[in-house]
Amino acid sequence: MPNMNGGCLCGGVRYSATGEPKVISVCHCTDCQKQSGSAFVEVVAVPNEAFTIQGATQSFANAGDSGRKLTRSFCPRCGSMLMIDAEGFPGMTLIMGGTLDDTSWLKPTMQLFCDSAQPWVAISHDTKNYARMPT
Amino acid sequence: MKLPQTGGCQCGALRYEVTQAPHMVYACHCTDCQRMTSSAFSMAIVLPADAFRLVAGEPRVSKRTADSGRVTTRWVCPECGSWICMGPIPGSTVRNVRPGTLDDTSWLHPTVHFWTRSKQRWVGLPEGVQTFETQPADLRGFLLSAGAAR
Repeated sequence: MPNMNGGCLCGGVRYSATGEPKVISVCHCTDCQKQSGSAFVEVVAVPNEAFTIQGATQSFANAGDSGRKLTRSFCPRCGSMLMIDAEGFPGMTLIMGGTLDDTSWLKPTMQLFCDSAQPWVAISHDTKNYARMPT
Repeated sequence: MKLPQTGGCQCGALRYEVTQAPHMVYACHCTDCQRMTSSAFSMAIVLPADAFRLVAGEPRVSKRTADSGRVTTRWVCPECGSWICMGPIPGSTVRNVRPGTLDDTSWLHPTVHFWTRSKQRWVGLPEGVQTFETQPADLRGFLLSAGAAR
């Protein structure tokens, strides 16, 4: 079972998840680029009941590139985004993979919104790729 | 790339303008950057300090003492949490901006990758890029030399 303990950069928020993730994906949508300031975010999806969190978070909600509502939770002190609650994924907590304490086991199997991927990004193993969000 | 480049946070409260081409585009794979970006690495464009201008909003200034002991400041949107850039460093001639927050990210090609030692395994490094297992001993000098070479 992977170690799914994690938290924000300053340590003000900590979380833990148990079991196996349902899916590990990379999202290249423009919102995820803006939120991260980087090229994409990594998304580790776990059932809500497998996820616990300590510490205060702040949320920001908008319609994602898919048109469905996304609520992003981040640490109000350091800004690290920790997880997403997405209308398109009911019952799931989407953990932002870069905030895990151990990221060595992550191996995304899916890439979303490849249409807006930065062209230099090289992902070195086979993934299922979608131009936008699969319906 | 066209100039000026525009960008901002996810919710649009912070907006900025870039008026000169960057000295360098780099990616950093250190574990702090992974945590901060929620991703596998951070990216930065290194700009002449006077080429960056905040045009809307008031950032939250987040301070952190780096492993080197130096205190760094980051500008974060108080509404949506997006980290848009480093704070100005007194006396410095460069300014680092997080280029994922640009409105157009299609022209970005990092030519340098720092901290490949902690790179996530599935992330490939394009051919021809300069890599550092950690970072140059004199990182600031390295970034400045890129500016001088232009």
